[in-house]
Amino acid sequence: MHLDPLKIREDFPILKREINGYPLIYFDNAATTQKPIQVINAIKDYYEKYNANIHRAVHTLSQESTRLYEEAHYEVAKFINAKSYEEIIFVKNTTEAINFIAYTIGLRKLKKGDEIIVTLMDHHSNIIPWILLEKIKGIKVKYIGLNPNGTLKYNEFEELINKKTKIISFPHISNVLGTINDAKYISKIAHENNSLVILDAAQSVPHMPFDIKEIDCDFAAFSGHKMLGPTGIGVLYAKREIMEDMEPFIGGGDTIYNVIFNEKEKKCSIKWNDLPWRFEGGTQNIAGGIGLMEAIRYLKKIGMENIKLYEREITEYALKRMENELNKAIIYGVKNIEERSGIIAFNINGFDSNEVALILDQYGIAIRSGFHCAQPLHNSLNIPSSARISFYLYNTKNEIDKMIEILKEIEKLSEK
Amino acid sequence: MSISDYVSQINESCGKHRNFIVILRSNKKDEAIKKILSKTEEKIFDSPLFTKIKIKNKEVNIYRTGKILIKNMEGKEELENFLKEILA
Repeated sequence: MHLDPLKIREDFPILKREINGYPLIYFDNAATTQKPIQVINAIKDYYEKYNANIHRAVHTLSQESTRLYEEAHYEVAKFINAKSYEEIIFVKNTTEAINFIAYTIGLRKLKKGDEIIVTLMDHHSNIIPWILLEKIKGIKVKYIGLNPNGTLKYNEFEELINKKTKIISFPHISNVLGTINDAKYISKIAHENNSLVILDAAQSVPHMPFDIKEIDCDFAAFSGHKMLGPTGIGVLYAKREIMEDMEPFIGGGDTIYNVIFNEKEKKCSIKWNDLPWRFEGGTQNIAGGIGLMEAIRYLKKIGMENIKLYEREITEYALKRMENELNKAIIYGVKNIEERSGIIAFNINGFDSNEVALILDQYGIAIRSGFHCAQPLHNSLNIPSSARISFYLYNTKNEIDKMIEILKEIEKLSEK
Repeated sequence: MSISDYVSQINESCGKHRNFIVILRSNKKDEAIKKILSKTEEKIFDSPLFTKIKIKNKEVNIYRTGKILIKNMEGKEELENFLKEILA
């Protein structure tokens, strides 16, 4: 393995911070990741040297910023092995990407009685847009259930899919349990039924090699800030053949090739712009796109396979220590390390998840507590909330050791 | 006395019940904690990790960082009335 977390940490200024008198241990990477100096400098450079609005201006600055912004699309396309940059639409985040599909394909192509399948494992961002559409269009949302170990009930796909199923939308990796779902299989059975496939890849693209052609989904959504990039920039991958005749969700500047006012008819006729610009209306987050490009270059330099293997190694280490040394911890999710990512949800008997997180915070350890925007998952597993640790390439076993020692102290407290 | 004399931020935590995390002003932290502890009706435990007490049948956790977790409130209005009482 060629990943040196101590060397990587030198690139992350925030990891030098102390919180409450202790060195920061950042275990909340499923929520957002820290940024390397290379990404911070790329954004700074843009504002210091290239800041101008993109497309159609003839001046040098605009041409430079256009080149960088377009290059960011090429970089993302290569990173996920898309056919072309035309399939890469920049959005705000994963949530916006899924809403984008709901308000283009969903609003225009679905009709009353059509069905959409999601899962009880989904983040709210892949449930709420469809519930909204259910109200607007009279479609029906159906839910794939979970096994007690937090895996999907795959048999339910075949039970729920029928001729009315137009879309199947699901997470590649659970943002709570870290379960890796069989995206290729789900795409295959969906396509056999002529259903469209939407993949929430927010927790997978940042952490493992990702090949969109191999998975063969129709849409995929992920966020820049979960992969070392800035906030406010995300990606919607959309198959070219599906989007070619689609009109934009947000109309405005850059979405059109031309708008011609017909004096006789007193109305405008529109010729839409090419992909992907047709779907990026108004001035975009140019600095965000450039920051994301730099984040991808950083990840590529380290190697996605290396990142996957390293995260697996430290997750296995944490799981083993937690299972062997904590008596009151309940760890959720599958046991097999190859079926899960670097996310561990757990509870400690006698304490609610917020209490655990607040205690760890006293020692500079940042973890998340609550529902993690996945309340149906918690309902399904019959747990009121959970504490969640989530790793990334800069975390170390030493940090895990420090956390385990505090968790042991918490357990002792419950014995009193 | 106004709550903002002692409190810099209130966040509602995520979970099944309505719990709130109250962050005390750092320069008023010790004074505020002393006031809250003086209202203790039941001490559940006192440890270096945190102190858990009950006031008016509400669980109150006090952390040395100056964060207070107050559990099972009906909403922000009840919380604010509760804070006014325990910080008086």
